[in-house]
Amino acid sequence: MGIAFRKVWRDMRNNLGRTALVVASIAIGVLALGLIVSGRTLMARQMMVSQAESHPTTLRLSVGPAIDDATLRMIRRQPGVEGARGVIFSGIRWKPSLEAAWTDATLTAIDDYTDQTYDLITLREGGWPATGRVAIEHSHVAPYAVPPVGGTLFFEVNGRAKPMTLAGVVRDPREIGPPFTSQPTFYVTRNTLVSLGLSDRFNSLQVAVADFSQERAEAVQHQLTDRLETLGVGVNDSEITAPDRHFLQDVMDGVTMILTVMALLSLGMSTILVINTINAILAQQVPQIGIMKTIGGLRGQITGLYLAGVIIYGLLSLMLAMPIGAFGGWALARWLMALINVTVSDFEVLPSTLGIQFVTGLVVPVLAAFWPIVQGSAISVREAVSQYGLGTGNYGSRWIDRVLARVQGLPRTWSMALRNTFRRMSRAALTEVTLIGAGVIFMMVISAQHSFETTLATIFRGFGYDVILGFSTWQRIDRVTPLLEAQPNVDRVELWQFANAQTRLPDDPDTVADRELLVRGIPRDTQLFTPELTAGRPLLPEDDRALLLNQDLAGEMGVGIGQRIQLDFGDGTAQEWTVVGLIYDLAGRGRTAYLYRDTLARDLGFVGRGSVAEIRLQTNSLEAQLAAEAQLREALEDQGISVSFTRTQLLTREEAGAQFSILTSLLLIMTGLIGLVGAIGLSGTLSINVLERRREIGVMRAVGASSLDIGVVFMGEGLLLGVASWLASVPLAVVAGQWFVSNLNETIDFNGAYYFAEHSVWIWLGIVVSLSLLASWLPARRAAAISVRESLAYE
Amino acid sequence: MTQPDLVHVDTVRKNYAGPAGEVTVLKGVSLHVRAGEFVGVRGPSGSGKSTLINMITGIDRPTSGAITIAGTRIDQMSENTLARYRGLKIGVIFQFFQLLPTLTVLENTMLPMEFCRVWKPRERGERAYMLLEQVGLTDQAHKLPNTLSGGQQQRAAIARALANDPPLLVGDEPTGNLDSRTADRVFQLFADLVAQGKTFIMVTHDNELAARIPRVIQVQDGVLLEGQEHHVSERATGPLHLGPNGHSAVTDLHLNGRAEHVPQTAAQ
Ligand SMILES: Nc1ncnc2c1ncn2[C@@H]1O[C@H](COP(=O)(O)OP(=O)(O)O)[C@@H](O)[C@H]1O
Ligand SMILES: [Mg+2]
Repeated sequence: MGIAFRKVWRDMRNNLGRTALVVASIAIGVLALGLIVSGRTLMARQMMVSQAESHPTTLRLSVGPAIDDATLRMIRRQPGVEGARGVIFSGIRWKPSLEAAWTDATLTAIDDYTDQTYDLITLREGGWPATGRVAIEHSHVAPYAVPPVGGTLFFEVNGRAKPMTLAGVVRDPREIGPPFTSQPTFYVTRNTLVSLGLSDRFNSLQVAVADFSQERAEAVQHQLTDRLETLGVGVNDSEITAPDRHFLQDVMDGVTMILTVMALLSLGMSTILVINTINAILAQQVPQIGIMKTIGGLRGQITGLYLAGVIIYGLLSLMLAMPIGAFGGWALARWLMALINVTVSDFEVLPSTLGIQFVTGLVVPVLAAFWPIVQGSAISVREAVSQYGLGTGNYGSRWIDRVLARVQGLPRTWSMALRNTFRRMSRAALTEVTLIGAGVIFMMVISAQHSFETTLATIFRGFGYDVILGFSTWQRIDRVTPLLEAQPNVDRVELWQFANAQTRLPDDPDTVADRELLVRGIPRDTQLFTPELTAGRPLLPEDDRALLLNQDLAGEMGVGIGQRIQLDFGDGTAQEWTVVGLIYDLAGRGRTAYLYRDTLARDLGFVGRGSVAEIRLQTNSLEAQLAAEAQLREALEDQGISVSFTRTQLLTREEAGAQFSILTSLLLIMTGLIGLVGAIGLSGTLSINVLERRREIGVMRAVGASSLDIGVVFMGEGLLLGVASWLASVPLAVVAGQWFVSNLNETIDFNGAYYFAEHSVWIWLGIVVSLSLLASWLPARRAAAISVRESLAYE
Repeated sequence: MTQPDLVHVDTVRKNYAGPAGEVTVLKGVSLHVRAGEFVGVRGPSGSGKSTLINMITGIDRPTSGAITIAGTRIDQMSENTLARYRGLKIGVIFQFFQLLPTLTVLENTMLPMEFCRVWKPRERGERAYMLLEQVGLTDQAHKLPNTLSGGQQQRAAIARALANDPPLLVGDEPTGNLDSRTADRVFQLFADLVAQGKTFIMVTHDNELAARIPRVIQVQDGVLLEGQEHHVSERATGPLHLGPNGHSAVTDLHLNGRAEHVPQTAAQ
């Protein structure tokens, strides 16, 4: 293939722009594939490694009242229990310096940091906590401006600032940083807890189930719950996770799904681009193919020649796509894993990914180009060498040409743009497919984001509070309400009752496990609770033992509207309540029920008291909410009312949306990539059109067309293609968005609704118009620069 | 006389599908060309000269009739067989030179040898160089075609046509795109090749050149007229002399005077 091959090589070198176009088209698909495959591989591996290295427990119980060491030892001896660790979680207020304001922090303590068996907390820097010395989770250092190791920070003890030394930085496999969490976690010894005036009894149990299976874990869960109950210890919350499943696996599955869709789409679109460009190149090469056939070239030789060219394109694009893909995949994995506190080691090249890229980078373009090349090389010599004069000789023979010829009243240049657009039907069609694809993805992505946001907004609209304060002990409503109402900027105060209950179906009280239920008792005249109902009706004034149940839990329990469930508030007597409505609720990990406070109060024996204050403010902003949070807390504590937790609506909402933020960032990257493919496609089509119509442009020039006229012909064509694709993509996006959002929701186990983002339609129109003008500007300018002599010269 | 014809066109018809139904461009023409002959083809624009030439080179196929080149029927060959056969036996020279733009003159000349795998790869360059020497282009061997003048490009195209040493050379208005002085030099090259034993069939519009071709065929209304006598495809009576004073060339000149009155249309 000596000389013929030289021809192929030089054709590429002489058309650097076009070569770059093909190489970029292939590279984008192969790059996306490599990035995603290596990212996925690294993430899956690292999550598994990290999970295994931490020696994960599989059952977690949150208990109250807290238990002592003897009870823990008893738990360890239970059948089916391989081992157990007691943990103490506690809340405290801290600040990094004396001048700073108090904010919430979590304290975590275990018995012995130097002798751990499960959920291993590892030391990253400095030393382990000791009396008066604390450690911090490493992913919380930067976000919360924690002082460096050896520095001093302050805990609030009895209203005073108690200095503590930061002994070290640790990694806790069960912790993650913002945006999933909103306060830092400090690690202390049990002694330190006592010195802070806190309990050193365990309020959480982390249990390793021997020979894990879901059934065995559930059996152990019931057995331990029963055993603890005989000791008067309630289980407030319990959770089972498979040892090989990271606790954020759902989110990561969503990420993987998006990445896969992304890889396939990019690959598909880049294939289309390759087909389009190769087609155009061959169209230009037709006379040369004819000449080669005339001087003895066989069809096979010519096919081989152009396929060799395609392989060169493939190799060139691999030179781009392989390194960037490998590095990008690693960076992606590192970024995503850092969000969930999993370490990704130093950059490494995954040979398997490179292999996949290599094969794809060669096979996809060859497959894409194969048919065009076989077709192109089949052209008869007579056809090939008799192409002279203007056009391809058959313009006007198709119906579309005749229809377009009847379009009257447009300026000459515009009607030329219109007719030219449809001259190369299949090329225009493929470009449209690319652009429509880009549009659909864009609107789909924005709609996914919009759906998440709207779902969250709908949920939060149902909860009218701006600030919530929880009390450590039950408070009298008639005392606390006026106290809070007297504070500035407070619009409304409602005292609610939060309580935990065990729930079961009345007909089979023993078989299925009791479920934890977080019960919220609301005032009958509430204005801060108008949730979105997914079924049934709201609570009505005449209701007695009626409740609204979280729809996820209802689904899990198999309970419908009008059915009864039993609630046991820990006193051993179960009452039956009727489910009247189902609601969306993100709070309490989907285990909430809402009912009337006075009815609940009767069952609990706390008539006239509340445990949580829900407050609506007059003026509302994040600053106002934060200010009110601090000020109301102070007002309560001044009256000797201890506050166990506070919450602001805006921060809670942000936290709830955090898991989506990973997804939406990824989605945006995806959109950018796809938009790029679309732009390359459009620009490619138009510049190929310019090349093909050089002669025609020369004739237009010769008969007096200005550069502007020629520019309009080409920019008009670009604009037409862009706007047409926009029209086609809107209905497709509505449908595709629905599919995408429901799949995404299923993957991340989120019960969100689908809302099509109408604004995305107009944004995309803006983008596609700018893109079209931009992509056609260069070709148009090149067209306008063609001189008469140059364009009429024969090659 | 016992020597077989190199080119044998036997009652060839060629129809084209036109907008108003079938158009017969060649109405059953016959033509015999013996090895070593120099044949000119003339006729008004659109008379079917190119069609006839395309039949001979196998670029196009007849509707009916037979084409035999060096004893081999080419009208029924498959595309591939024909391409290879053409590459070996026929050198085609185009009006617009048709050199591959990204290959140098030398490389263009070597390409047919490579396609047809004749000569050993090492010998190909040497041979191409020799051919370029023959057409007087050795100093341009490493230049790209579009840096050459029209005459130089056509000489390069001739060298390429000679690459595989084909017995037959065919040109469709090979001097049509050259000024008269250049055309004259290129024509002389053709005459030299014929003198060396090549058979050459060329279409030309140029009266002066036509006058120098020993045997001229006139294409008119789909039939072939040989010289003055309006014989259709009569076998020539012997090798004609080269040069402007040949008998049939003179009569042909006369004929051509009429042909020139036919208005020229845009296409060639
Ligand atoms: N591929 C084709 N399809 C239809 N008609 C053709 C085709 N090629 C040539 N013709 C017609 O055949 C006639 C002869 O053409 P051609 O051989 O090119 O003439 P010449 O070379 O003598 O000028 C012309 O009328 C031309 O229009
Ligand atoms: Mg012609």
